[in-house]
Amino acid sequence: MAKPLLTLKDVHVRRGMSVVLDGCSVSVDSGQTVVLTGANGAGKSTLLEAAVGLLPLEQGRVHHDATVIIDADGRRRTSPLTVGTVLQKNGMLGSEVVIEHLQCAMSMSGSTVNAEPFLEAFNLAHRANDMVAHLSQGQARKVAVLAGLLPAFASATPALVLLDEPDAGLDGASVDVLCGWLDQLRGHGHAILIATHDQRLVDRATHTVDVAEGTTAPAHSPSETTLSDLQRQPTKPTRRAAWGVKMHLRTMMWLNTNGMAGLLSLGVLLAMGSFMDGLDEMQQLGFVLAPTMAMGLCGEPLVSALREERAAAWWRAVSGGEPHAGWLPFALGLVMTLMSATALQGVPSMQTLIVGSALCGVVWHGVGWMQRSTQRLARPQAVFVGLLTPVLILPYSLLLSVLS
Amino acid sequence: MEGMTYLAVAYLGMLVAIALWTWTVVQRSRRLDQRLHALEGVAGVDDQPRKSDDEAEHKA
Amino acid sequence: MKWGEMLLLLGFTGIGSTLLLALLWAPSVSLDAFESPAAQRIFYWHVPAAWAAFIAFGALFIGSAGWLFRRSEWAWRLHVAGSEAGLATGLMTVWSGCVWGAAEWGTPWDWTDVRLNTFGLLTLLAVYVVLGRNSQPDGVESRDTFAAFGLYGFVLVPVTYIATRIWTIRHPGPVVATGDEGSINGDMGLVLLLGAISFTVFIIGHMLTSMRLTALEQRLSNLQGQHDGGI
Repeated sequence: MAKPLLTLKDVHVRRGMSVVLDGCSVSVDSGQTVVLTGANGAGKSTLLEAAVGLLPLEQGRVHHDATVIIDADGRRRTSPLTVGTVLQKNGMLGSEVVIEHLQCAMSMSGSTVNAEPFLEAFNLAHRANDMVAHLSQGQARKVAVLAGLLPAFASATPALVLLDEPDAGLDGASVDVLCGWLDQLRGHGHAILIATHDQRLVDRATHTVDVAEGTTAPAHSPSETTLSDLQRQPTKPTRRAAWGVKMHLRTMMWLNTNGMAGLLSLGVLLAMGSFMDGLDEMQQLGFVLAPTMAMGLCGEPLVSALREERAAAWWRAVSGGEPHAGWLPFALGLVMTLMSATALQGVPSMQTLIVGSALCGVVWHGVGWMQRSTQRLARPQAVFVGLLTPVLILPYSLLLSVLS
Repeated sequence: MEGMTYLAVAYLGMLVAIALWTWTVVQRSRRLDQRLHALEGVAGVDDQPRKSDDEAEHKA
Repeated sequence: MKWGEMLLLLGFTGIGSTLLLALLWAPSVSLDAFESPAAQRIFYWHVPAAWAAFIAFGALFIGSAGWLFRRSEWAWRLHVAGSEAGLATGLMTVWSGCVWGAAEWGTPWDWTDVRLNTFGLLTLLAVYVVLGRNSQPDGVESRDTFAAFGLYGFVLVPVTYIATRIWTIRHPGPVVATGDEGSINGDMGLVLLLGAISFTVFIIGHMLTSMRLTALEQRLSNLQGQHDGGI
């Protein structure tokens, strides 16, 4: 008997000043394709985003299998299911390589399949090793759609696939291919929820839900197809920190913000000539660690980078959190302290290096947390997060006082 | 006496600052009242503030 | 004239009188106790302003909690009023503190003084909330975010209070409600009391006016929305 993989119970969601979902209840069982219908602004995308736990609920709760992943009291749990998601935006950085992004999406299911046949079907095989930024809009959309479907293909257990207008920007032949894949996934027992206006996709539905009316109706039963044999390779889910470090090293975004702040601070100090001799121990340490502190105070450049194509939202949907720089700030802090101490003071002590490394790591991640706190806002870049960073200066002066 | 002059200047500066702040708030209030009256005049809405605004907004 | 505006006028007159009394009538402190006895009189402004700031930040906390947990429109207005009043009174306190510090300590700011810094942070938080809110369209997302910061800011209030008592490096300890006898002279206390009452009336007047303004802005926005929709 089919069991519900996704259940929204009495869900109320507000966006801006209006209530978009007002007591919405939807259930998608294993082996069902449910299509959300309704005019623009009816709340289809809101429902989909609520279903993956991206939106806070005013009332109600969302279950994945038997686990409540989000409720109105703000409790959140990671989904026990493999979740494939296609948002309205593509959810990937321009610096990602196509095949890497697909492998990363699949790894969330704990296994991978050969993506090549899928890329070929979408006429993208020749682009597998290109960066997403080099693709056309339609090609990038195809990669985003594949990143939503492949985790389910790779998953040995029933997965949840949520697609928000996957047909947008796709040519007719690609939509036909997509329809075939959706039938295969449904036949294999995966649960699919789609928001679309495309009749070909609506025809794949076992049920349709009119979001504005809140009614569910059974559709005709599309033909059954079975999933062709896929060789699944077990793999470990991509860790958010590992992915974050990789992107940092690839794009060198740390150098443009944090690195330059540290280097410029050191440059300004060096321009003052030899002033360290007349200072006491605390003041000397303060100057040595100042470039490292400046580097940390710039925060996490990945936060603003991940706003591109709502990549942060995609990560939260598929993994329950956002990528970050992991160990990189600690390493950079060590290097910057070494440079600063050598230039200003001479050979640094091991204690100074360790403190510098920890200082940079903690401050970097702390400011990153502050930056992420604005992610729900309509215009997060318009908020002056920098105004909150002086909160870190007091611990800095206390640290100097304790160490000296 | 120098200290008292310093103090008098500091007091005066702060008084002027809060007077300016208060003045801008009162002016904002007046302007909003005017805009609201003008809009209500065009829309033909009752001029009285509605106590049920909160509930209406909540249900909106 | 509205209630809020009447209180504003009354409070402003009281503040003016306090400062006049502080300048011309309040007794001078001992020359031995302070580096700059004349500048010490700035505390007739500094202490009542800090008191008013705590009232404002209290309102910010209640408003933020009311919005987050009850979804009350009234509470949101209180949040807005509390943050604006907190910003103004916070700046008054910090600024007067700097003026006093420059005369007394020879430096307007001391990074190692916990109370000074936590109060500065509280004021910066108010700047962040007020500027941030003004940069966003009104909606549940921005209200939730800034209300959460309003709650977070209030954590700094007890920290500041405790810092006043146990972690004073340069900053003088509290002058009222210390439990010590004769912590301040009777006439000084009278002027300070007048200042505290005036600032309280003034800040309540400001918050009432601000809450009314927010209600008017919401009403205007609703009417404009209806009008755009072609009522």
